[in-house]
Amino acid sequence: MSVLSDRELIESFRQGDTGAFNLLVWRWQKQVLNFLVRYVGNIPEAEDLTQQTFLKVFKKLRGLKDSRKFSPWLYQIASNQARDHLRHRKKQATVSLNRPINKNSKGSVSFDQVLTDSEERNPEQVLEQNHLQVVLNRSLQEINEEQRMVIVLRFYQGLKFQEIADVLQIPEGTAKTRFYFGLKALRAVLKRRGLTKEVWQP
Amino acid sequence: MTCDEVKSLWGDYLLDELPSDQSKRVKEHIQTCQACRAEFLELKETIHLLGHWPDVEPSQKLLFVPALTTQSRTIREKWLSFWEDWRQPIRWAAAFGVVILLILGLSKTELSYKNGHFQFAFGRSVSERKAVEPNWEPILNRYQAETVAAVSQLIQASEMRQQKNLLLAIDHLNQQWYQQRQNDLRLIATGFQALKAESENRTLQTSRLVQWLVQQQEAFNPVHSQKIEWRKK
Repeated sequence: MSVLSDRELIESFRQGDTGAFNLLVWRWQKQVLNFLVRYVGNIPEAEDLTQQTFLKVFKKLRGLKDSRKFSPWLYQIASNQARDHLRHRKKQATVSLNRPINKNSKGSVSFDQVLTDSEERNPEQVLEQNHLQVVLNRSLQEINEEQRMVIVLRFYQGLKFQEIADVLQIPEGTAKTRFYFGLKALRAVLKRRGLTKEVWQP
Repeated sequence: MTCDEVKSLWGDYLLDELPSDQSKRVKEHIQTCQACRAEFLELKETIHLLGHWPDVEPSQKLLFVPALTTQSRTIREKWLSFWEDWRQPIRWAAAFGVVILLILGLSKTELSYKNGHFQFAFGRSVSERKAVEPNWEPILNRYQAETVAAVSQLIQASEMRQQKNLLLAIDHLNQQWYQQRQNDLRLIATGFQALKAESENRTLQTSRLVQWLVQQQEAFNPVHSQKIEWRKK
C-alpha cells in the first residue's frame, strides 16, 4: 500500500472521514509545533498555538480551494496565529519598575526562566548543549519578528524562498532580504553574548 | 559577479542549495572579495550555531481529537458548502434579475401574452391601462359560479367515496372479528378436551397405584390381611 498524499487525505476528509484529518495532524504537528516554538520562544505557548492552528485548519479545510497547496496554507494559518499572539502578548505585557521582568510571566515556564534558573544554579554548566538552545532562543527572540519568521521557515522548516513568499504573501526578493538581514542581526546578538563557533566546538 | 548580486544569493548559498553554476560563481567572487568573504564566514558560523537547536517532540497532550466530529456532515454544513460553491453565480443572477425588474418597473412596462406572441408596451400610465381594459365583471361572475359548482360536486363525490370506504372497512372488521371469535372458541374447546383427557388419565393412574399399593401391603403383611380376613369371618 502506498502512502496517501496530503491531497488524498484532504479529499477523504471532505467526504466525511475524520480519521483522515487525524492522519494529517499526525503528519504535520511536529513541523507546526517546532515552527511555533522557535517563533514564539517557548513550548507551552507554542503548544497552545499548534492546537489552535489545527482547530482552525479543521474548520477551514473544506474551503481550501487548491488541496495541493496544503502545506503553505497550513504555515500561513500558523504564522497568522503566531503573529496575532505576539501582538496580543505585547499589548498585555506590563513593565514593572521594581520587579525583574522574567518573574512576571503568567505561570508558563519559558526559556528565559530556564536560563535564569540554570545560571543561578550551575554557573559551571554554561557550556551545556541545553544552555546553547536557551541562548539561541533568546537571541532569536531579540531580532525583528519578520526576519525571525523567515529564518525559522527557511532554516528550520526547510521551505524555499518562493514557498516562504507564498506563505507570507510577500515578494520572493523581500523574503531573501529579510533572511539576510535577520542573519546579520542574529550574528550581532550572538557576538554580543560572546557566542562564536570556537566556543562550541571542542 | 558583483557584491550586490552575491548578497541576493546569500540565503541559498549559505544553505548549500544554490545550483552548481551559480554556486561556482559565488565561490569565485568570495575568493577575490575580502569583504564578502568575511561576511560569508560570519554568516556561515551563525547558521552552524543555529543547527545546535534540535526539534522538539510533540507531547502527548498535543494529539488532536476533534470531539463530536465523527458523524458525517450535517445538513447545515452541506447547505453552507453549497452556498460557498454557488454563492458567486447566484449573486450575479440575483443582481441581474433585480436590475431587469428595476428597468421594467421604472419604464412602467406592460407585458402581455396573446396568440403565441409576447407584447411589451413601455411608458403607459396606470389610468391609460384601466381605460383599455374590457369589462371583466360578468365573465368573472360566470367563472366563479362554474367553479363553485364544480368544487361542490367534487366535495360531494369525495364524501360519498369516503362513506363507501367506511362501510367497507366496518364490514371487513366485522368479518375479521367473527373469524377471530370462531378461532378462539375452537381453541378453547380443544383445550377443554385435552384437559378432560388428561384428568381421566390421571385418575386411571391413581387408581392403578392404589391397587398396586394394596397388593404390596397384602404381600408383606399376610398377618394383617389374615386378621382382616379373620375379622371378616
